Amino acid sequence: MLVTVLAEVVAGTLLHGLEGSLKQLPGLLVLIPGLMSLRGSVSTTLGQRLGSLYHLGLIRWEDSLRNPIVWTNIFANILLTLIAVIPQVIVAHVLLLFLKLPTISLLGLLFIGLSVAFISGLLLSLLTVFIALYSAHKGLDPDNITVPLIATIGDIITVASVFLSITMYYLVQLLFPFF
Amino acid sequence: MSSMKNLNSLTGIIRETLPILLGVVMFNVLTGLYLEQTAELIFVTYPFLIIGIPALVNIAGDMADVFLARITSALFTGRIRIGFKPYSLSLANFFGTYAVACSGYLFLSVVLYVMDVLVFQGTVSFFQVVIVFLLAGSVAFIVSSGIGLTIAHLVYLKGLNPDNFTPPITTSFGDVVGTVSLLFFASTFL
Repeated sequence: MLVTVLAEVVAGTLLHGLEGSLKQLPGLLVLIPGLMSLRGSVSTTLGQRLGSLYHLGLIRWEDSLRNPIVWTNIFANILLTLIAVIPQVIVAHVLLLFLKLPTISLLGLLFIGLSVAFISGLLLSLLTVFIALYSAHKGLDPDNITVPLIATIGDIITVASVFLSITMYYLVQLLFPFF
Repeated sequence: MSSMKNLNSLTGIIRETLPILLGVVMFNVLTGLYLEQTAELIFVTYPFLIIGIPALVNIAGDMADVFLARITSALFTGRIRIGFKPYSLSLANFFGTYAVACSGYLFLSVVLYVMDVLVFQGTVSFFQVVIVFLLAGSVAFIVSSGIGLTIAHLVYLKGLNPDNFTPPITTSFGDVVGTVSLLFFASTFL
């Protein structure tokens, strides 16, 4: 609990560091809670699935990179994150316009939302597989290790992905000013 | 058998997870809109609030999940019956996890108060930080546990496994209620 609190304070401090960018990119703050909750919902579900697959004897540390089940789960995780972000961005943009609140373009929000989803989805999926299978390889029960660890690291990775995506957005804007 | 197939089939995983995921994400748009409306308060006036939000909602969601996982296991093993009787066992689990959540909120308050004094030269007293985070955290934990408990009960009565339904729901209710109540108590006590 205490380690989790400290890790979440790190995530909160990173979030506070986004203040300048969030002022320059109005509307983006609306997406942040949803993007962070994807961490909880998708990666912890992947952790639970991997735990079950390990206990069923369907995945092992030794041949994990060659196991199609592992890759199916990673691919499903990234795909789920990307699919879930699109309606979230559209609804957020419509609500912001409806409430007459300032917002960047729908295309800009979509770019940032999808980039965050892809980067954090990929990193968290790989990390989840590593933690689940390595803990099992070391004789620990992945059910007890993976979910709490991923839940703790997930917010930090998601906020860091927001930083990276905003930088990418600015770079794309330099190349394509209409964005 | 079909649930085992859904552990390693792409369409199975997406079909089972996507509907609830979409609901969770949409629900969080409301949290985002509320944050957008109060950006000045959380980023400029009291920056320790934005730093504390992820931890506050995480403790509420995690502890509600722990409480519900314990209740579900007790339902499956027959130690608790439909209607959550005997109440003494349900209440012992509730207050046990609530006490752990409160210790988390106290620790969070200490960390945030120290940051506020050292980094932001804040003028808020330690007592105010504790009151705000303890009240907001308690509301988030109690509401998400209550809603999770109701859903677990309904799902169990339908013969389904509550473990597959309650975690995303308690997490998203913890997020929304935690954020809204934190900002409410902050504007009341700070």
